[in-house]
Amino acid sequence: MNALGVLARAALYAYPSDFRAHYADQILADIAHDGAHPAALLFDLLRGGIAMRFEGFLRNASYALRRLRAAPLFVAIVILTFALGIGANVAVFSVLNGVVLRPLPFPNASGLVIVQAHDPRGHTFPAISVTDASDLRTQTHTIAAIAAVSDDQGTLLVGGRPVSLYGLDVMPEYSTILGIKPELGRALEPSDGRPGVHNIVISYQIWQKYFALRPSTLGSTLSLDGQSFRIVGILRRNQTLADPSQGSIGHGDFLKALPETGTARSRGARFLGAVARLSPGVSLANANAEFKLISNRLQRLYPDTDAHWTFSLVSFVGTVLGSAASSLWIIFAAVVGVLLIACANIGNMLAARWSSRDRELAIRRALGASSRAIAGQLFIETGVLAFIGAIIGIVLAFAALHVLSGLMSTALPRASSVRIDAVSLLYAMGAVIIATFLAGLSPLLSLRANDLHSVLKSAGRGGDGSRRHRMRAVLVVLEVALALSLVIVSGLMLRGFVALVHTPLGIRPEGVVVTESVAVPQQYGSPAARATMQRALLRRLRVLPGVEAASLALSYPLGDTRIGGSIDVFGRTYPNGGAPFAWTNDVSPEYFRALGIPLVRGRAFTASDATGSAPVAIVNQAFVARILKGTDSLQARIRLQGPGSAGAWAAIVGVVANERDSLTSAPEPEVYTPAAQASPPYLSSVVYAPRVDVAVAGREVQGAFARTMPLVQPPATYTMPQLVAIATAQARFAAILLGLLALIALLLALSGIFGVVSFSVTQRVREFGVRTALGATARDIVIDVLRRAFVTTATGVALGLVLAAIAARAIASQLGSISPFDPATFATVVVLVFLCTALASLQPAMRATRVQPAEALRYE
Amino acid sequence: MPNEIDVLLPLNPRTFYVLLCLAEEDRHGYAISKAIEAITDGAVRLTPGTLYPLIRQLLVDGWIVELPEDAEDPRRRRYRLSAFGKRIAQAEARRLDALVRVARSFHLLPAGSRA
Repeated sequence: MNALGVLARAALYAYPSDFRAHYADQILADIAHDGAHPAALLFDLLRGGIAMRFEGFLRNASYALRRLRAAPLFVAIVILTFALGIGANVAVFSVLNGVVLRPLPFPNASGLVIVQAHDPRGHTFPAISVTDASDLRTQTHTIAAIAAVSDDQGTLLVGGRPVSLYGLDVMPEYSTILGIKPELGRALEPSDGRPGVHNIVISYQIWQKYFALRPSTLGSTLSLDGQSFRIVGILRRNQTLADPSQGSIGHGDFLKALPETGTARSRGARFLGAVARLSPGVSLANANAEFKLISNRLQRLYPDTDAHWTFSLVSFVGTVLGSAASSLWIIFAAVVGVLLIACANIGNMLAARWSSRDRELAIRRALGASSRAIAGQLFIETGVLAFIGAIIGIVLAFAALHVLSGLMSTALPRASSVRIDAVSLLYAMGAVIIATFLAGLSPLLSLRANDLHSVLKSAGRGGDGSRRHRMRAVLVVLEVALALSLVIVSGLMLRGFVALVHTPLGIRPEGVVVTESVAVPQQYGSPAARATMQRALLRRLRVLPGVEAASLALSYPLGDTRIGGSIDVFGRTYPNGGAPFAWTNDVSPEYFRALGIPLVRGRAFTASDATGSAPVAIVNQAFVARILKGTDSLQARIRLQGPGSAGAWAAIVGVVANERDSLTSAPEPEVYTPAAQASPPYLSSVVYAPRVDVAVAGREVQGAFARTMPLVQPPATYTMPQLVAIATAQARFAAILLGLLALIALLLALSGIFGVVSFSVTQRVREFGVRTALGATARDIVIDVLRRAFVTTATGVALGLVLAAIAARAIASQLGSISPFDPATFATVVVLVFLCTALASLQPAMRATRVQPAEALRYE
Repeated sequence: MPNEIDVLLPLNPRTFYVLLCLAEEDRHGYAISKAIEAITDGAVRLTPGTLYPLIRQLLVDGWIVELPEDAEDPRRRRYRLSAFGKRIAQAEARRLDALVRVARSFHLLPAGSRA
């Protein structure tokens, strides 16, 4: 055969095989006779083949639609099942895609890393000092650029009204690292950090809101906290900024240069976040290996500040996503499980339906329809149903994402980028194809199990059922196994969530209103001015209606400001930088009363613990247990190690019970000092107003701030339950979604069991009739039906427990205090599944008892 | 009321050409495509990718029948117009003839000319 023949023979595969078998020779003979241009020949044959297949498909599809119209209830149930399965998949996939899979909105976002510092006691901070940044920059070959970043907050006066702007003070490399290209003007440059230079880059949104998009904005000035900045650049509308110290991305209001002076230069002043970019072709592991060497070198060079400190890098995207990524992967796995269960269910329904067409199909086959043509018909019919289901499912997914959007915005990072886009639709298409294949597999196999001979032989009884019934039972076993493991996983996640919400915080949450911390403006820079302002604010808070206790504070439980440091205990030495670590908080006398934290020993602060009086401190029980260890607390003196010099020794005057600063970590040592002695740079407040509506109390508190600091935008207020809700939003999101999916899975399994039991009762009508005739009671028959159903379920449960154990191990890190093999959850779910089995078998079992012997024998 | 044949009209021109060629004599596929080229002066050419799917459709619909194996070329099959196919071809010819007569009466074509 010549080359043209080979080409033609290959191209003929575009045609259906029966056509090919019959006409290939003739076509090849024609070509051999005539010759043709290879390209023209190839095109001709491919076009003809595709057209023929497409026509066949259309014919089959319209036949399928006509046939399906004849069974509207069946069709509705199948379509609804597909819609639930595919819709849930599209919704969950869209969330996964928007949050986890889609790259962060920076060029080459995978090369972005965060620099972490590890102190001698093994604590990890996403923070370095200015000097660390330059140390690392001069030593590294694996990092292309590194920029230290500090959160910044400034007040802009708009028509006399203070507005808080939130931005970042950054090293000039920041723009290069993130690939920032301004809309107008320029990005920050090294010269912007020089003393006396006050330049600022503002966001598009600020430009729009306060400058009406005027082009003359560039070069004009913006006054923040009374200081003038020249606007040298305007960011693009969709520019996202990376905040390495928070491990988050978002829309900042401005970028300023981190001042070269005024920022603590000491190596030990590690409070700046740092973002860096890996050099091209360098892996994170390689860069970390280099950072280990650099850390060792720095430890030798600067033993005073760097002894036992190490630096490492973590991926930025990993930090942004945090545990949300694994949480979403778990939900995604669950939703894929639901689709599998749905497919098994539909497969069983289709198999039952197609088996009632045995004779039609067997005769069609006898008349020359190939097995392949019949299988094609089956898959097209299934595919049409899956496709219609998918369209309804996508509509459901839109609705679901709309309903969930509120919860998602607090529960997930990047929630705003979740949408149903082309990728989601592509996923839906893939789901349709796979679901069609899986759902069509069971009826296909049962078709193969019968031929004309066996069908006609069993003419009166609707087909030989035993082999087919076995296969349906296998599918139900798989369904039960998947559903069981899904319900167990979601039960565990639910218990984990409930435990998290009920984590004892060590405080009395009711009636407490806290304010977000505000930066204290520079006009209160002197200690005297600050003390006066704090006294005025505290007095105003204390006299608000219904307030029974009020306190200023640097931080509050579940807040996002937390400051800590190394502690010296008088009379002890800690070699090699081994001084213990404790969190610190600056509070007013009524802080403990406002939060209901019991005083265990000694006294609380009083109004006389102020500037000028002897420095005092209160510590918590964790501090006593881990740091003071045996020393009489009320005799001890401690001091906080500052970045340069240590503060004054403070006498411990009281011990309080532990409060928890976060839901997920155990209480840690904490030192409280009087706010009046410390003058904290940030201020928040805690008031206890048990008999006042919290919304009213919140507004009153804001009013007190506004009257005391007229040039600061009044801070947002929260109640403790609101803070708990925010802190548990991600766990709640996962629990709700998994709960819904588990419910769907359980319902599907229930209907699967019902289907298979019902079918088996129909198959055994004669047997029941005969047994009734021989004296079997209704009770015997019910027990028999239930026993068989329970055997099927028990097999599924056994398999499901193995699956669940594997899944539970995989999600152990998400469960908090709950054990992944929590016996209560496992036992409850197993009982639940058996109850469902009994429920699903009840109707078929009752039907079996009503079989009349005469009626059963009529089939013979 | 249209009869069972009228609902099938008008025919796709290619289908009509195939029926015409087979009305003349039984032919195999290759001969059909050559004959069509001849009667249309090469204006209509049926490539194998078009011709054989068409032949199969005509067979399925019963407009033509396949003859037993040809002794001189065992690879080829010859086809014959069925009685049903012949009636369809005739009906199409009558339809076209009526159209041409209307065209003449409207002086779109001179009487007795070739289009």
